[in-house]
Amino acid sequence: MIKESQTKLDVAVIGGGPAGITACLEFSKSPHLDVALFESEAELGGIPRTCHLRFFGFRDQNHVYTGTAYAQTLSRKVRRTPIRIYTDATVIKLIPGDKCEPHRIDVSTPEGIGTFKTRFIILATGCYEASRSARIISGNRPPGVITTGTLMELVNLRGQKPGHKALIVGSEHVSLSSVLTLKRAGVEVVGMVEKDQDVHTYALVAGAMKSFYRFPIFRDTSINAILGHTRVEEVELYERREERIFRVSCDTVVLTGEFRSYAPLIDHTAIERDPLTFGPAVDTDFMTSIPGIFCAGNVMRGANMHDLCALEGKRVARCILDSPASDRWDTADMSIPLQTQYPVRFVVPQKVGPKAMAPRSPYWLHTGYSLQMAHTIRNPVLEAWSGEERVWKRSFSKLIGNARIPLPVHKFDWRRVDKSKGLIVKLGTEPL
Amino acid sequence: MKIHNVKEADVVIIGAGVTGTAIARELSRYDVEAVVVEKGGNVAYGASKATLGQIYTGLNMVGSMVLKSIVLPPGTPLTASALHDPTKMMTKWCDEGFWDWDRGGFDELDVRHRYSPLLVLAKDEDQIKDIETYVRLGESVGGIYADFKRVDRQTILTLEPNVNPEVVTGLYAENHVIDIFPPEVVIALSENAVQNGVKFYLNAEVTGIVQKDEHQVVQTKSGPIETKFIINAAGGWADRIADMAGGRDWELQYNKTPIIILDRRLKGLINGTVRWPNKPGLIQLVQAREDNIVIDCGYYEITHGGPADTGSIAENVRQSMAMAKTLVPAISEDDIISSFNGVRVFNTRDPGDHIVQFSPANPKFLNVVPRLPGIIGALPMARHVVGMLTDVGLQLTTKTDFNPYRNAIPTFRYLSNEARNRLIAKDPRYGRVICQCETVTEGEILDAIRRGATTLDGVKFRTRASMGRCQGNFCGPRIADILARELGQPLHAITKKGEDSNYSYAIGAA
Repeated sequence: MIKESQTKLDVAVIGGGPAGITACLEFSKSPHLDVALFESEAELGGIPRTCHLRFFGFRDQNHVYTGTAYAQTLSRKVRRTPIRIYTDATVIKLIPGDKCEPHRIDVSTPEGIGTFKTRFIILATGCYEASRSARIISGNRPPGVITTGTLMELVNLRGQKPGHKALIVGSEHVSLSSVLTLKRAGVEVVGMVEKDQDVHTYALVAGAMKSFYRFPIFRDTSINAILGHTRVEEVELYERREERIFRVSCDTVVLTGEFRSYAPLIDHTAIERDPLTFGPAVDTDFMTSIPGIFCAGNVMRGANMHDLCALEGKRVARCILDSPASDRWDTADMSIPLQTQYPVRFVVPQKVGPKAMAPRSPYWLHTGYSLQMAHTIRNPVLEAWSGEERVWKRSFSKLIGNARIPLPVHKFDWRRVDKSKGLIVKLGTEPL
Repeated sequence: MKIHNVKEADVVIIGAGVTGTAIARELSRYDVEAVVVEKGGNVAYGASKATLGQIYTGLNMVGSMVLKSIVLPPGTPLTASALHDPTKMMTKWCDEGFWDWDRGGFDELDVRHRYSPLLVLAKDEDQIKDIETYVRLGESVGGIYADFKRVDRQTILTLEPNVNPEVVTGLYAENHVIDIFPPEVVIALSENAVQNGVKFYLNAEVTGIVQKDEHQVVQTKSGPIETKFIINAAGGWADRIADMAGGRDWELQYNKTPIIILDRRLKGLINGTVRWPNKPGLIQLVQAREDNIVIDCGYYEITHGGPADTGSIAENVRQSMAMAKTLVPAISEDDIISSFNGVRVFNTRDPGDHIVQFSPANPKFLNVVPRLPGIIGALPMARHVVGMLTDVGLQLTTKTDFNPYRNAIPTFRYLSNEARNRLIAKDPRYGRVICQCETVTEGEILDAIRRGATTLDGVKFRTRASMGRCQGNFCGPRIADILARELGQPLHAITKKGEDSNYSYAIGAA
């Protein structure tokens, strides 16, 4: 049983991935705080734990690790701190407190249900990839239609492979890791399908991989149907430009990317949700609409690189450490809403507070505002408008779809922003 | 699945859908050797798993009568005598069946259910005319079929604030619809039948039926079974089974209807069932017992893909969503977490009624081929079928130790923290959440395996693990681990739904 005396906390960090752990590491510098970390799996580390590739830790640890080693490093570091760590502990309910009252969480563990009262909560529950149904794909529902996350779990943690011949759906950065993971497991890659005209990752890297592993990239092509009953047998594709329908024979379909925030805990609470990211809407400090409840990492949007998530965790911990709780209620309404217009998919944070308006805002590089485009666009101009006033514009040679694009809000002309009209980020109509 | 060596039975029931399991449970009241054979790796694996999940009467049945005219010969009048003929089995069993469930069926079988208030809405003149048809039909049948209220716009928007504000009038009934989860009903019936001595053979597709003097032999992929009587409850596959026993004078016809499940974060958007009276489509938004909104668009498109053609069609899903949005504008395609097609089976001889009769070529082979709704009338149907068997010589002695009660697997999600702690004290694994979307614990998954689940789908339909928004992409590998551990099999032997539907393969294997 979780002891009664332990159920009062200053901070509850929910999710033991890079963002949650790094927030804890930052809190451990202030030993007077009572902080607990809750992780539903038996081991800490989150998604990097399942990845064998060596590109982890570059921006937060100044060292390059494999995903597994990176997760172990973070886990070891946080276990050396006085932070209370609960693994196999799933937060099953979150009840925001009334004004200035502590928030409550219910945690399920094999020792029993623990109820904690806490002044601050950091949601760091990550993201998930849209399932087959969410993508509305025709056909039967055989096994072998999986996401990158499941693929990495099977291959890297269990020595299993999902099938023998795989078709990859999507062409985001994560799609490239799924190629490498499939190859590691000895699975043939029969192709990569992207419904956009351009790939959603670095075209050079995708091109090199395509030549090295000899698989076609079908651009401007969508999935018509997945065929097969007990196994995937074929996938029917539709190529838009040539109006051509054709079939690819395979027994596995890996759905990659199309990340969504994974935040079931905010359902049926007063925490405001952004329908575009599926996750909580946050302000400059990554605080949700409920003062004292913060976010860090990919629960705000899918999916940034692990090290940026870690830096977000560190930053949110600093925000909590640097300003007293009572301020939160007073500043909660001072932010200006920041909206987007298609093909800008979303922007995070969704509100701009006074801190971000400072000319030399310290946060913008890795943990500042960023947006994602719905598809890849060449030579676009991005603009920010407040009512009839254009307050910022910048031209780009290319904006990659579904990829992180930093938005330098500190460069906006804040004198011309009308707070009552809010801000909207959209594509410019004329080139610069 | 283990191959059992039992070769003898009094009755073999072919098919473990709601029809087969209801008959099995009814037979288990008597001292009789009953065996159910099922070709799938789980019970409830045909039509029973892919239906809307409503047990209904009254106002919704009146709606169903109007709907029924779609499958009847063109020109069938919309009159009570044509659509609610009490001499027909379908009508009679629906009438009785609702009360069977309402007055004891649910309690005995511990099936989670919820009474769902029903609103039939109208926003234009055509729909108002349809509402009038409902009233006329309902009144001419009388009783509970007329026991609904006409409500005005204000009342509608008080009851369901999120429906299309253009609504002008509607009909309302409070207790005419019961939401259930259809596979749970079948699982409950089968578990109670097993408790009382019925044997189930899964992965036992019937390959032939042979006559031998006094008895007959059902050949299955799990071995032959000698029996006196055979019941064909194979649902969409009943025609093939009937052919093995010497023929039939009916064909089956399959209609597909898209069913869409929305994310549970929309809980509270509607309080019950809402629908238009007919066009565009018969859309029902059901806030079923698990808090998900379910959309059933009642297309009734004929499929030539047979009973297994349950795949969804992206275009139909999009159209259904567009139509459902005319009812409740706040939903969107982004809310979809699952979609599939329900296959509805009708016979061509009388699409308005069931077929329940002995094969003309084989007096000990009973065809039980219901049309929808199958679950509402399942209990009276089973009594009727058992009566037919006694009429042709099946000896039945009532068991003294028949136990009508079955207990469901505890649903961690709906328990209080005190009740959760009691479970965890019994077995700590009730505290380890495996499926986060639906809050399903390892303890519940172990219960499901103990009760016969051997596949990922078997666990899913018993516990809801992986029925949430990530659709098993997080918990799938963890559930496969548990199945492998408990069944003492390697991970790569675990399947989604039996046969060669392997979830994974060992790396290095071809």
